[in-house]
Amino acid sequence: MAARPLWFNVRLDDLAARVIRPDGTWAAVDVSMATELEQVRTLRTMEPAWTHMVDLRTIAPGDVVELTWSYMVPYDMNADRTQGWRAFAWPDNWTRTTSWRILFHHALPIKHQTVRLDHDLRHGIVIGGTSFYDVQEDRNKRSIRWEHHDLPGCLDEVNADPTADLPYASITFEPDDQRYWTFDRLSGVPYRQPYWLYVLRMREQRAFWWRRVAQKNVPDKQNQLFNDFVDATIAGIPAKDRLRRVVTLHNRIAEEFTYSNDSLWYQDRDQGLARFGDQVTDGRIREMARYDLYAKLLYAIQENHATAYVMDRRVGKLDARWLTPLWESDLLFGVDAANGVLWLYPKRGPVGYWAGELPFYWEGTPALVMNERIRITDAPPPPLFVDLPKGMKGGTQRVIETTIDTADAPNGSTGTQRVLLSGQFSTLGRGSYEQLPVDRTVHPNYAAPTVPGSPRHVPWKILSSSHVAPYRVQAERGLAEARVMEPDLDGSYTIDARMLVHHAVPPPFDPGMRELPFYWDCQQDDRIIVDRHFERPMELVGTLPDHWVSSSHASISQRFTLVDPHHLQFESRLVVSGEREEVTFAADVAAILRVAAGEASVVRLRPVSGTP
Amino acid sequence: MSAQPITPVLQPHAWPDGDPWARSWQVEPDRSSILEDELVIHVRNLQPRFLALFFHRRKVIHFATQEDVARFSRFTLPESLDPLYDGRGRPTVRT
Repeated sequence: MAARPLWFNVRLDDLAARVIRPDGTWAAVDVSMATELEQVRTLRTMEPAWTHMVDLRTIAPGDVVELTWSYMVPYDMNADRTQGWRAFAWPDNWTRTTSWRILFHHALPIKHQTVRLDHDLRHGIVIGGTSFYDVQEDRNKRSIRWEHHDLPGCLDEVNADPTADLPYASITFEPDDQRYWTFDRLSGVPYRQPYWLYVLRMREQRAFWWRRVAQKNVPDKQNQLFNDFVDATIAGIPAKDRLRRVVTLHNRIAEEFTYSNDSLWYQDRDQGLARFGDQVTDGRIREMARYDLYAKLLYAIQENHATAYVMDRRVGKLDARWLTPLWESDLLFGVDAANGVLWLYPKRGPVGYWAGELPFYWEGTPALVMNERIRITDAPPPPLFVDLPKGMKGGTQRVIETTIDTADAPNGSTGTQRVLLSGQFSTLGRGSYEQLPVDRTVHPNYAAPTVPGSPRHVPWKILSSSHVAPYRVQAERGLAEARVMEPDLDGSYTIDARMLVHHAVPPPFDPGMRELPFYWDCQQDDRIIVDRHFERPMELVGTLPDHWVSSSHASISQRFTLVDPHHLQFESRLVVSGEREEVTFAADVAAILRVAAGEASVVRLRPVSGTP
Repeated sequence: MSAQPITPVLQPHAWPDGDPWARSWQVEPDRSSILEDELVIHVRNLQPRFLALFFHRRKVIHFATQEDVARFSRFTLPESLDPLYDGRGRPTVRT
């Protein structure tokens, strides 16, 4: 499904297409259209956003097609009735247009492009980003114009970071909207707060209430249940060991709690309250109360905290000119630690992160900070950012050891498989060893390997799992029906490395077409060893593949070794020591990816003559 | 809150008179490209109840191969101006 902005109530006014020819003639193109509805989760509701799916029929290779369309995106269809608390029952595009970007490039090369933004100075539009533009002003009217020639078609390149390496524009849109006005608490003088502060204050508006609730001497039933959970969890940990109390509470939630996405609550079918006491007693964390639960939890142990709103570094980097609308941003809780800040991620899926654990796409990124002072201040401060910590150097490692007992058995073989995970392989993959889904935005090979040559699933046994960095996990399982050899008609066998590799990297690309630097997910050392034992002695047909390829920040070695006539060993090891590969290394990176995909290694064996 | 009709009511488009082909365009027979891309965003009105963003786009695309026809002759409106952000959280952001 193509990315779409999911704006509300968009009105399509015009759409037309025609094939044009150099002789000046043209012919209309048959355009078909279907409409898809997608539900968008807002602060408190689910709202439909529709997208028109346009299909240009009767187009043939060689055609030059002129397309034109117009549509209108209303700011707030319900403005008359939604300036107060009801705004969140009927949210509109005022929640989605506050901060956005224009990426000028496309998957196709663009020969000539002009982009113009016409607006009134009173719309509060501020331009950021990394592109040059021309401005024309006439009284309150302003026209901003970007013009580009010969933009390469590179927006769809794998593992690229277009906003780091290509020009783009960011637009902050803060019209004179009554909802952004608030009052100074002492003087009562109205003042305007920036939209991001309004959003974060709305999200964290109950923080002070949770602090007061935590100090109640006569708790109600829900508070009593909540306090019982806290007391039972941190029993025996002295109050002065405050960080251990925080870590213990968080890790218990990360490990034991289930996550509920609250879809019924957002659809207004479940109209119940959060009931924090019941949540923690049942071992459940609810989407609609993730912030509140953690705020209450930390106040319950007298722990001051800040929050940090994060952005996936594959999407972009937050700065003062591009903060995103923030309503859907994910958040971390930070508490003071001896050597900085300990970041806690309230569980939002079947697998929780341990205290201090972050996926690679948040590590080292700037996050927008909200703390008690910013929450209450009457003088709106500029946005404050903090760089999230990077992972432990050399901490991301994985070893997958597979032993196939009788690889030449006609009906598959038994065997064993053992893994050792640490760092990001643990963070992003350990859930799969307990049959839980992994983060769907990362490469699926962060998850557990499959049984070679078999669709059958065999459960893993977790031998150890550490909640301390680098979060080492050991697991093993017995195999059955593993097939790692394909019999040929002449009695020989083919072993293809594609059946054996499991590196978490994208498929190879055409380096000749590459325009942007390549970014590895993270530094890593990923090793796969497969030992095949044969019932009958085998001899080699041809040569044994042996590859070693490197780029500026990565290398891969992959080889087959015939240890003895009954034992063939395969080993593939990918080592990444840095993240960014310049375009000049594109051919090397593509070669690494080709080897990592197992495309370059095939071995042929045949039984030694004279054996049955 | 859905307030607009979902199915658009489109009037027949009136193409401008004159030669639609610009002499400056250079078409590479084996490579698809966008020859001309023009986007105008007009923010109109001031009060929130009337405020709206009007998007108008004109593109001239040369489709060189059947593969590109299949890939780029289908698109969505409103189009994404920021596919990285709009595609966040979806599978295969990068791979």
